[in-house]
Amino acid sequence: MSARGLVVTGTPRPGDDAAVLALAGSVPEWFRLSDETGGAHVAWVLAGDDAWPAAVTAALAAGADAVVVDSPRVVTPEDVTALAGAARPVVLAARRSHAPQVRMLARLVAPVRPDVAWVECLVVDGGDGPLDPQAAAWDALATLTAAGLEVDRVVDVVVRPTALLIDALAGSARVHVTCVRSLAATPRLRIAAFGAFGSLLATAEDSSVAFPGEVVRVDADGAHAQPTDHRTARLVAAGEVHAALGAGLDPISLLSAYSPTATLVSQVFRGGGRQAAPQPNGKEHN
Amino acid sequence: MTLTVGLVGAGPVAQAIHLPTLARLGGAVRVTEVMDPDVELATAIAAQHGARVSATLEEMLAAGGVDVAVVCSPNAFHVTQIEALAAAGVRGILAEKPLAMTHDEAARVAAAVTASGTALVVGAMHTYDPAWLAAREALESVAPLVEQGPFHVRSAVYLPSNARFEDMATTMIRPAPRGGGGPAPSAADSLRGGVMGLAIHNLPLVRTALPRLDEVGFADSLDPWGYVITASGPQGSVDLLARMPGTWQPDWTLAFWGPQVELHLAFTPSYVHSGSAVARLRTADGSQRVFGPYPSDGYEAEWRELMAILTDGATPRYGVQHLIDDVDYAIDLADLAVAALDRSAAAVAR
Repeated sequence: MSARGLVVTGTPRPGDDAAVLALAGSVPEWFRLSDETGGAHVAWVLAGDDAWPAAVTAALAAGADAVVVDSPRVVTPEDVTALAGAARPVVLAARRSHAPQVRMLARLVAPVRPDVAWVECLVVDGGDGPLDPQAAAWDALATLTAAGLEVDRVVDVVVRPTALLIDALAGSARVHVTCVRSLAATPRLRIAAFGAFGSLLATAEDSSVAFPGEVVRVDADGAHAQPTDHRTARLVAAGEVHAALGAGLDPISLLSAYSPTATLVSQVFRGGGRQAAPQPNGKEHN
Repeated sequence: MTLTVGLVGAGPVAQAIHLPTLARLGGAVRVTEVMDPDVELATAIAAQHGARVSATLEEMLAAGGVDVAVVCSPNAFHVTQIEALAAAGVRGILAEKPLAMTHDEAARVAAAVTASGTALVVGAMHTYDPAWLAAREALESVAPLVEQGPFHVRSAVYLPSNARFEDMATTMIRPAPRGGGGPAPSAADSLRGGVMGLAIHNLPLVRTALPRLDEVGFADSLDPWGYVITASGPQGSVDLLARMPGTWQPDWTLAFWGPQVELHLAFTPSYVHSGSAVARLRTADGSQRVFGPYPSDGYEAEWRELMAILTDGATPRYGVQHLIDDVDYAIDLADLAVAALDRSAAAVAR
């Protein structure tokens, strides 16, 4: 099978366009960079601003076989609704949803999911400036969704200039999320799930870099470290899209699968929703 | 000069923390008294050291001859025992945390040791951990930590059962089983116990960056034992997480994030004598310094501190008022957490 065309569109954040071009160049058997929308192709939408749904719509109208939405700041229920009728798959490649460690964790969580009692998630952002609470919440909760630990109710939210703390429920499991932002910080992700089965712990560094990683499962038989592929999250997403289209299947991680998470985050941060969670406690302390 | 030591309580903390630590101090200390209401247990421990056995503190003090007492009894006895030891003229006390459970008790401790001039060290091993001290010194070479905020601080403790580490530290002699066990603690008691029993290890370190916490956003206890607490104050915020026991890797971390600095500390579990924590300090210019692991740990440093005070007249690293302020900080946080418990539990149950 010849490589599909890959049309890169949308609005890049600094460095994102170069990263996607480099990605395409590294997998010539899957994709060839193209400006042509006439033939079979995948559109890769760089969601560097909030206009990305229009770019997705345009790509679908141009006949893309699939559209990958790359790292939107946040996904709203309106975004999901607007794209719900798409005839071809719209894949969400959230910032960390395709990190190899998250993918591995999702595989290991699935068989023990009913027994998970406690989940903690730490997202450390090495950026400058104040933390964007809605974006941080979306990033963390979308990552948990990708890991098979979808939060369905937010109980408490605390917003501080450089930190966001969320207490929540994922089914019967309690969830605590810590998001922090500091210029001095090492960007990283940690998700740990605990229960009668033992524990699962995924740790990952910056998902835009192909760092080594692992997921550690500890159970009655001992500890088992499962090394993960040295792949960027984008490369994993590209591989999944390529494989699914080649097999005539829908890719996993469809945007629509994140609809409940988008709704939840929107309700918490916009107010007036049906979600029982309080609005963020934004009392400012400096 | 050899200091004579009396153990006030002969349970796991005495056996798996203090006795192995004292053994590392060589001839500088000698255990001469072992007090425990479980006389059979006290006798078994005393026999290992050629020490005398007492069933009560009064009996131990009547015999005299103890330079240093280490209080490792249940929390409820700490204050009255410290008062009795100070009144009896014991020169030094190493009191296990928590020093007190209420502000009134803390004031009593302060009054007792101040009046007697007794040297007091609290067994809060993280406050003496060489990696913490080295990292803090490096950080504060710029400015006091509190001036480098605002900070977010995160303390996370995931441990298997203590017994696993006790058995690694020594050949434990277990106390005789007690009947009953009483009713299960209330959620409030469990949460307060979590703060005063486990979180308190890191709270003095948290206090260096966040000297005032005046609001708890969320607080709840976790099954089978643990807590989740989010709190904040003028200098920043903290989340305190713990869950134990269970089948997982021991994991005890404390992290500080400020605008220009990230400090991450990884501690060994309690009862483990394998050197200090490891502290990683990063600054906004991208540089990173790693402190530790050092061969000595906080347990050893506590004892060396007490010995230096008693034998060399050294100035305590943490004076009495500092120790009282530490425990008052923990009590205040526990009070705030318990006050938030009903609201948090209702939000979870909604």
